Amino acid sequence: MGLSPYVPKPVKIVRIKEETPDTKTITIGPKPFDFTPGQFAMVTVYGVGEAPFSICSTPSDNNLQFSIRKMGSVTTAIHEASPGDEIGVRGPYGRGWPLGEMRNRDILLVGGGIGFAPLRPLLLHLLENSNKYGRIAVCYGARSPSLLMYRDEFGEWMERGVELYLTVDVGEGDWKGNVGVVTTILDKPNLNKAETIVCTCGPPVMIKFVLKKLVELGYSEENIYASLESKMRCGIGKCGHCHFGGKHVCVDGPVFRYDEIMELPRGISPF
Amino acid sequence: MSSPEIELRKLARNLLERKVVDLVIGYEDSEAGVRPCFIKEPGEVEKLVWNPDCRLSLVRYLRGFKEKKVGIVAKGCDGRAIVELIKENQLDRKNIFIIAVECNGVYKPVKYGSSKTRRQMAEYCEKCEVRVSPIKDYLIKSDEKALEETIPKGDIEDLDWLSLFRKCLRCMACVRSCPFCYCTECSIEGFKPALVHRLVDPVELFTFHLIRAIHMAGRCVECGACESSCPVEIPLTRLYHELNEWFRENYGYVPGLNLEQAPPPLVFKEGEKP
Amino acid sequence: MRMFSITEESLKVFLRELSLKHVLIAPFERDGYFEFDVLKNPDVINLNYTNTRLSPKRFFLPQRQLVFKHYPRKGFTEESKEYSSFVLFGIRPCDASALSVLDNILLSPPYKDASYENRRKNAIVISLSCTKPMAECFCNVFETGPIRGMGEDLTFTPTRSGFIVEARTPRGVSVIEEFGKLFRKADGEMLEEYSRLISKVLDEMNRRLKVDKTRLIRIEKEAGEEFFQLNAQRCIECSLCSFACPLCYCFETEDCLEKDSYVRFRGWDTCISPLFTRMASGLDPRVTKADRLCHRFCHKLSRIPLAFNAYGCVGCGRCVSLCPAGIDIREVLKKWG
Repeated sequence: MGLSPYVPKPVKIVRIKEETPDTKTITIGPKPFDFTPGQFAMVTVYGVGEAPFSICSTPSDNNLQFSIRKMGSVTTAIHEASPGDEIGVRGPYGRGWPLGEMRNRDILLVGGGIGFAPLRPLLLHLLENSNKYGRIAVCYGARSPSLLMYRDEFGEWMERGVELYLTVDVGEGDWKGNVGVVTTILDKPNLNKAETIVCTCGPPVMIKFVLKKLVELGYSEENIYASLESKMRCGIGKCGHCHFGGKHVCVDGPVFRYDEIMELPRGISPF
Repeated sequence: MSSPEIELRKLARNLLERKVVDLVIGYEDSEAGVRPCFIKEPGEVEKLVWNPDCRLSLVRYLRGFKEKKVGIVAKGCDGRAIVELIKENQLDRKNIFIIAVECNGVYKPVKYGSSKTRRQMAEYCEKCEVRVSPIKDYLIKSDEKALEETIPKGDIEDLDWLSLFRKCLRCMACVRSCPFCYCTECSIEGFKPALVHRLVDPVELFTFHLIRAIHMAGRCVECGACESSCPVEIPLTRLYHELNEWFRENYGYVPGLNLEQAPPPLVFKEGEKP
Repeated sequence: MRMFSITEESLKVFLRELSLKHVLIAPFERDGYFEFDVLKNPDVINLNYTNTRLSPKRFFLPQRQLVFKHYPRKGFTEESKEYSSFVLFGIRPCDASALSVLDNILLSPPYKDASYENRRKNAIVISLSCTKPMAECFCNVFETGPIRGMGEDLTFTPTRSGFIVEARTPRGVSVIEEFGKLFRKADGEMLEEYSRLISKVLDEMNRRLKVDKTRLIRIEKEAGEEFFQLNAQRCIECSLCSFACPLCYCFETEDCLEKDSYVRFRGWDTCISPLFTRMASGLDPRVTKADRLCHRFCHKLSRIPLAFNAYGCVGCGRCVSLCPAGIDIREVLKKWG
């Protein structure tokens, strides 16, 4: 203790896994803090910079995982790292998925591309405590089959009772599944729509069309949550970079409910 | 109301009514002082003013209107900036209607909390040799008398440049107000990978200004936009003037006077000494 | 809060004794402008000053500041040290009020800004009332002056016979008690002069600009962007408004490799910057200048008040004076207030 909230804790990278051509999942351990699904951490590459990443491992795991897409200087540096390298982590920050709301209800997870990263800890946590929750369905879409993340876990999820619906924008190779944007498979899950809690994450334009389609299909607005992303520098509501419409994405989000999203200013709001 | 102002408004109205230009960039008065204005409708021309507080070079705004035909109020230094920018392929001569106004110097800005009461001419106007733009589409003559001259701070060697640069806040106001700083990503602003950091090391304050001075050498028309925007009044124009003098002495080159004369860094003459 | 008085002579003694125990920071005149600096000789203090060109926020939120230094080989991380205690004497009530608003924002849950908290805890802030506000000032709109601010420990108000001193916080009271022999209880005549002075200066300012603050919330709904488009054309994104503002607190961080350590610095940033909300992917929720200007004014005049019950502007007028392009927050106030 005594360190200011801006100082990261050094941790070592244990494992690096290639998820897709531009995304890697890094595992660091042992985890420096506990968290709830949907929260994020600020990851520092010493000497390069810091960026927010959703924690994509389950809270019961002893390690911490982040799925990181190669985009800018920090993410490129992480892609060039090896197991044993040291990075800095601080967290957990933000409001995670509303687990309390999900008790005894059906849950639908809708993800697009790398947007599945904050949904995975939720899915795994729900499966670990399945007696507390209803049916679980997942609608997951990516641009192409090789860009679907966590492909090697799909089989296990289905075995554990998840209704899994996949789609790609463009088919490739031996893909025999649905082709189309993720809104085209939203009607497939067999759930109690009015009572289902929906959690979604993906590119803003995807969230926009998904939210519209969900309401059309009969899902209730007060049960729909989305995880948004923003540039962040502190993660604790002090630097101003993620401030939109009176809310900080790092403190009041990144998980926002439908009505909160409607209040956000044009620009950050997917609408 | 002075007659240059009346003539300016008449001209602007004419240009807009006849659709010779899509908009006129000039100066307007406001409670915050004289500031740039962008006039699209002939009815708005009454806002235009011309007085010794029309200090900020408007040429910097031309880069936002490259697709449009723009009329611009230009002092001598502003016109020189336009000439030099045309040579650097940043502006298209046929899209600009240059309203050249004869300038007798601008006042030094009086900023927040100043204890000075008498207005003085800006230091960078003292050395000005080009009172009227070298290229023009219309000339508005002014019979104002020259402003009271400022007391020079001394020769360039007398200034303690290190302690002046130490005051720099890296606000980038000098870069943003300069007609010649048109790079979409400034090389010395600190973007990754950073050539010059903004926050990390105070030594970089000197690096920033020295690199900037070299980028300005032989291009700067000493309009003083940088110096008048600077919140801590670093006399940048004086530094750039010295580098310009080097170009004048060694290459006979003065920026912004001649559309045909190529800037020395772009020219190689056989037999030229390195 | 108790009212005291002190003569000019005793004030000099007060400052001298303060400077023996603490680092004393006071206003100085340099090249025709005023700035704060460490005062070694209290006799050269200039109390006839208007206001400093740059705000005193830099003593609490430095323009550049080390966040941490990480030594990978030694395996530890070092932070910047605590600031030694200092006395900030002579800041204007508007600037002091800015500190009070910053306290609200930076020390509010879920986390506190540790460096700001340390500096605030270690500082004694003594404000000096304005009896001759400048042309750019509009502190009356936000009730942050001209006589009394919101965030200071002691308020000194010049009167004919010296100064009226109001202790505003328990720390202010303890300072008075510590230097008890220099201060006297303010007598009725002085208090009368004091209240006459307050109404005189306030009347003068209200005549210049009077705004119904409660209507500023409308900016959110009516940010119909024509007003912001016009100002966006002029704005050169120079960041001076944010840097000069006594209340702007947004910061940027920079990481670097030094000889044997990795460092992170933080420093002033501006929401007007085109990179402020731009993510590595290129997506930018506030991509136009008009968006950013609208955000700046909405944040200061509507969102900070909604969240913290205090306005994000103290009416000092620095942004108005220093903006090279003449963007004027008073126009926003007049239009929507």
